[in-house]
Amino acid sequence: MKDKLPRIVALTALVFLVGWPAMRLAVGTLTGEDGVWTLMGWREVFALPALPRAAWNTLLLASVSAFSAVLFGGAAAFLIARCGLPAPGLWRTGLAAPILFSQSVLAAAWVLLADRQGGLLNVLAERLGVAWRLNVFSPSGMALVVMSCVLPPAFLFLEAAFARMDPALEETAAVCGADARTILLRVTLPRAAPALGGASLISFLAAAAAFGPQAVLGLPSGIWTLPNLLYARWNLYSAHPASIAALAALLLTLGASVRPLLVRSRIAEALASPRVDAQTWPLGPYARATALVGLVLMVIIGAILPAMALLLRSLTPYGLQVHAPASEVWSRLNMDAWITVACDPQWRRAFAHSLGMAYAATVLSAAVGLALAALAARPGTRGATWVDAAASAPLGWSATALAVAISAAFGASPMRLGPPALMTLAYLIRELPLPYLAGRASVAGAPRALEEVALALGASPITAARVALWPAARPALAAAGAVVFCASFREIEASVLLAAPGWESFGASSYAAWTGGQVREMSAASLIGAVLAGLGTATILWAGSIDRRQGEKAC
Amino acid sequence: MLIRSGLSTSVALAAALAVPTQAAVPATAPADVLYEAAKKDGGLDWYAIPLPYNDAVIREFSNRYPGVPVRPFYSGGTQLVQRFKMEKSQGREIADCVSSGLTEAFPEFRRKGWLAPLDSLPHWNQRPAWAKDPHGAYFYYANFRIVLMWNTTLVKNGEEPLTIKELAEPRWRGRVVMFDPTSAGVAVPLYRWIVERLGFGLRWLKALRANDVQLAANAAQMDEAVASGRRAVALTRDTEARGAMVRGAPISFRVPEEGTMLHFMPIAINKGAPHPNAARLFVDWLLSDEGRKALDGQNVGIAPSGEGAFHQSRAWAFDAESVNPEETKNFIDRVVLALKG
Repeated sequence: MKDKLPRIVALTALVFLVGWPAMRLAVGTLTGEDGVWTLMGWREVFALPALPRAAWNTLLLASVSAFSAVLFGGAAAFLIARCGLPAPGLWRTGLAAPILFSQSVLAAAWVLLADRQGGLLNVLAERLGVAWRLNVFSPSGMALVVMSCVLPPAFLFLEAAFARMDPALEETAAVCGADARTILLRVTLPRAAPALGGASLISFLAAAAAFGPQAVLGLPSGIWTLPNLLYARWNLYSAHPASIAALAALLLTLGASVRPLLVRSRIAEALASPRVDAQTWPLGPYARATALVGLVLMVIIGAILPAMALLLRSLTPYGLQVHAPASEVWSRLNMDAWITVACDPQWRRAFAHSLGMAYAATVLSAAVGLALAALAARPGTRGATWVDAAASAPLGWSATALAVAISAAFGASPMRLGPPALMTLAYLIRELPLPYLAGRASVAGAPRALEEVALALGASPITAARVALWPAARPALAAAGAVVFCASFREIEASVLLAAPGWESFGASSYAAWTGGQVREMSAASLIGAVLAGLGTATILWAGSIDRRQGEKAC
Repeated sequence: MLIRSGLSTSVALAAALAVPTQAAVPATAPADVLYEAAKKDGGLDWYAIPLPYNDAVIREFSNRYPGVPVRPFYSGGTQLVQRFKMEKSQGREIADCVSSGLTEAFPEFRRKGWLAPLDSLPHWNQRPAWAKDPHGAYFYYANFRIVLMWNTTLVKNGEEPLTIKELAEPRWRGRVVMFDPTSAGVAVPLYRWIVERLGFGLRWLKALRANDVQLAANAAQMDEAVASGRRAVALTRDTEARGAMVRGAPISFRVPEEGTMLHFMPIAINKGAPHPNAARLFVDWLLSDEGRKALDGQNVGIAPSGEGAFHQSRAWAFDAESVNPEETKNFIDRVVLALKG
């Protein structure tokens, strides 16, 4: 019984976190307002005139954005991990920085930059006499913003994978006289295929579920996608609750249906080995300069331009025209919005709540993810495939759909959990796949002998895991935890539906400020939030490296 | 400070329990008794839309009753209605007072037994019949005129829009922002007025869509778009237009030549309100002449006093009691299809 306890606890957690909301949602799709069973919800969903277009737009948007993110993110990752460019840490930080902003805020920043009439870049183009205009309220504009949202995780994932590639085969091919092109096509890329495949799938799922840009840009311009259609239906007074549940269930099912491909992509294996950081692709001066220019452009487009737009808007008085002369703009900038955000108890409460909930979600998801990873990776575990399927299922789930499911599962009787618990659960479930996959990669790469010896000497499974698995998994879990923290701290999509008076979150308050026309305050708060998210992420990464640093010191 | 608050958040996560409902004092209790009970409630939570008028309501009420803080939860009108419905259906009581521009939701709330009666409140009779639910469950604490608003930097003198109909013309292509029918509560009565009352039909909405109209989630967003110069013209409420002008935006507005619509803003008390005494004090103050006078300076809509005021205004207003949810659903679906495809 003692041996089975960890397994029972892990499986119970999985059923509670993933199975229960999914089941409540499924029941909700078939329940009428008077409690009788009905198929009306499904009928209403499939009769929606916008559904086919929303599905097609989502597919197209996710494909284009994911392809672009993997192309540019992969190229940047390869250059930084394998080509010996100077200051790799700086490039990594610059390319990953957009992860500190919520997707809705990034989309709002792009509205400030590339709105066809008043976007700052367009105003600049007008003053320079350039006829060409950007229009962010268009399918291509939306794809650009979604791509900039999913590029950082794709880059981080691919950079980690490239840095772990053993250069021996490439060196052997070079010694045998193969040219660089042959080595790239016949050795490097085939070996990177699992990582590229995994990154493509993760990016596709993330882009398909990226509610922020799809709501901020799609709803005002009438570009339907599945997540913004669900949000619009949720808001629509006349929509039948069963039809909202049915649409949410449809989204979750579509997301989950892509997941088996993710398992087949052998994503865990790509990250299982330790970093090698072999610089086997030195560049010539011309190629080096081109690569650096490309990286600079990516950092400018991904992080610097949106951050500058938010900063400028936060300093610009209400009513000051984007078309006003530059001298007038500069003379009237002030810090009022920053002071408002810093002094407003509601904003301070929102920051504090989000910090607390994000840390809670990080710790809980790491614990549950590692437990499930240890369970699934153990040879001969019965039902390991099911554990794998369930633990990574939320990866393709839209946060809006998840919020609907969580509200039904945990907000209603008999549980009736309060808003903070609901939001923390939403973050935990949404981000669970990341620590789980990181845990799986670590467990797969950890030496089993130590654990077996500990078990043979009579240690409990928990003690054996603590001694053998935890040191191996800690760095990867810290990295995953950092992303979980960041994503949870600035999460908007689920928080908008689950926050309540007195229990505001930073993300929900930002979105309320955006829709409430308080763009200055939203801009200032987003920049403060990005700094807090960066500090929180740094503390988690620091905590994850304590063992390694202590070991190095001891050596 | 933040870390300490974060820790307390984590501790509270473990509990995460609903606040127990306070006992309500009798309806006939004197005002000072109600005020004391409201203070013990610790204030109230108000689901409201982000209007300059609502900021003024909170400010004035707080001046009058400083011991009873009003905590607004601002969101779009339809979102508030959906949130309230979801909470009620799940047995969760969070809101004390609810208001939303989606007026037709309130008769449904009443029919479902979700609203506390207001007709026993001391000042119920100080408002005219046209501003009250005939069944005593809600009343219109404010009303706003629909106006054409434009950015005076982008639209020169003599070029300003005069009619609603012209917004679908080529000269306004890509320059107009309107309410999103899927998220703004006012959108439903507004589009009823335009499509049915003014007789523009859905064809006009399709023409507006072809004219590259932008749709705003709510009026505050619309006002920001026009004030900052990202769009030139909007069809909005006078409260937002006045609010933008007060804050220094280069804005002007006028009543369209077609006439105007009055957008009624209802408020009701949740029957299961966690802070019932504070909710009653707040709503009764809004009903009273004292409350109305305190808000007169906002200078929006028509004064909600006097039986004849509404008829004298010659404006159209949507009768929330005249439609059923199924009819509303069909109408919204048609409008969404015309405006967004």
